[in-house]
Amino acid sequence: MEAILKDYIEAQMREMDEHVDLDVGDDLVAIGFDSIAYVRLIAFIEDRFGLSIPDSEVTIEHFGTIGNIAAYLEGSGVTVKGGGAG
Amino acid sequence: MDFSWSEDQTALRDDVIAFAATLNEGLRDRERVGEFPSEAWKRSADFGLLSMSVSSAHNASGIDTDLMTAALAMEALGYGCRDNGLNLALATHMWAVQHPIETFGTEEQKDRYLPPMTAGSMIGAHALSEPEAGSDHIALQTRAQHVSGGYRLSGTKRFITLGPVADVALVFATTDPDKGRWGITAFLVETASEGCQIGPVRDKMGLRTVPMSNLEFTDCFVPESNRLGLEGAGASISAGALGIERCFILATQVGSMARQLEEAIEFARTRRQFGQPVGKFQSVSNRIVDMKLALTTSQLLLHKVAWMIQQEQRFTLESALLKLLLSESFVESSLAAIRTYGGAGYLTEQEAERDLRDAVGGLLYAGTNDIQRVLVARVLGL
Repeated sequence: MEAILKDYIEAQMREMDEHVDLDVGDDLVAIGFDSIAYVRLIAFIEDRFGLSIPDSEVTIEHFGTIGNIAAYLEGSGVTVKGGGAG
Repeated sequence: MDFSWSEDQTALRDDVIAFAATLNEGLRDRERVGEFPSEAWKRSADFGLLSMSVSSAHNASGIDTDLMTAALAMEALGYGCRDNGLNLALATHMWAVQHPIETFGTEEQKDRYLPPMTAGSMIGAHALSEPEAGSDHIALQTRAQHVSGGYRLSGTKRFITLGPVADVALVFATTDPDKGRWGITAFLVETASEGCQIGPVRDKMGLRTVPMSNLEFTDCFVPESNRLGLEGAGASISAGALGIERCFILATQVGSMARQLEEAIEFARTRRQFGQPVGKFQSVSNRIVDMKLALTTSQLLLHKVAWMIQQEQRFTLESALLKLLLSESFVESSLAAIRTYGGAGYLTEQEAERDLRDAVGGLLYAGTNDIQRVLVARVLGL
């Protein structure tokens, strides 16, 4: 799951002319991931993993880093097997 | 895909139109002096309008209204009520304050604020914009410092619709500017609180019956029980609230455009020049056709976005497109109406020029159209 998120976020950053090699613990806001990027990320996650994320749960604890997001999704029951979303 | 409305929905629409028409009394006089229609506000609450954005568990009417029906009711409000300032005021209170409380609030917050708000005895304002943080609201500077039992807020909120008459404000502040979006937190601040000062009413081009002012906070204590949602969730709460707001605030403009179209057609059929109705001239009829096209496309997108919200689908892109289409269509429709009436349309007594002045505000509030285009472009991957 972390790999899927990393690929997506790095691709978004490239669209913003920011070429980064992300670590799962990197602070996304600090590297320039802005509010519109988050809108797109959440839409991507909902579509890719088939869940609905309440706005009230988009906090630093859940969405601050790739690791946080992966943990949040796993806690929400999302699993990834063989590159697909479970 | 079913575009039809039920008998109950059309009956409600007709009731709202009939009621809304009673809100027009004295409009020209109060618009001239910029007077907020308090009595019309209370009657709107008594009618049940303010309750439509809140579930029956917490509203004054005790009636549940689904979001599609609520959108239709807002449309009907705009058709019947010519006071676009009042329409904006009602919609802001309903969708940018009450609805976020319903969505993100604790049971205690809902019990304390929503019954009096939906009953019309408590007015709410949405306080996000600041002098240095308009479209870039992540850069807001209003501080919320932790203190025993809650927070102390300091900062200035600018261009706050209903600010001068608000009893409670949904205020966005940062607990830590270094955290960017993760510091932004939402608070329900009672304007009678010590340290909260309402600035003077700002005069403006249109929407003159809804007062606007700054709100100043100086070490204003807000108890922890008045924080809306989690600390740091404010940016997401704001984004969610603004998306809903764009749909339902602008819904009244669809009704306004429908009224403009009907009146323009009636005028073009009865006003005669050169021995025939002016509507027989293609330069006039083409303009009216364009009014119809703008109305129909706006209405379709409004209903689609309301449907998406009701289905709990993500609607960021569509609500931005709706904001663009509706607000720009209302400006065009208002100008087209004036041009159809000719010189008479330029007179205040015709009541067409007021719509144009009011419509310009729609290009700016609920997120400027410039920033909506930025958002849409980014979502498209540009």
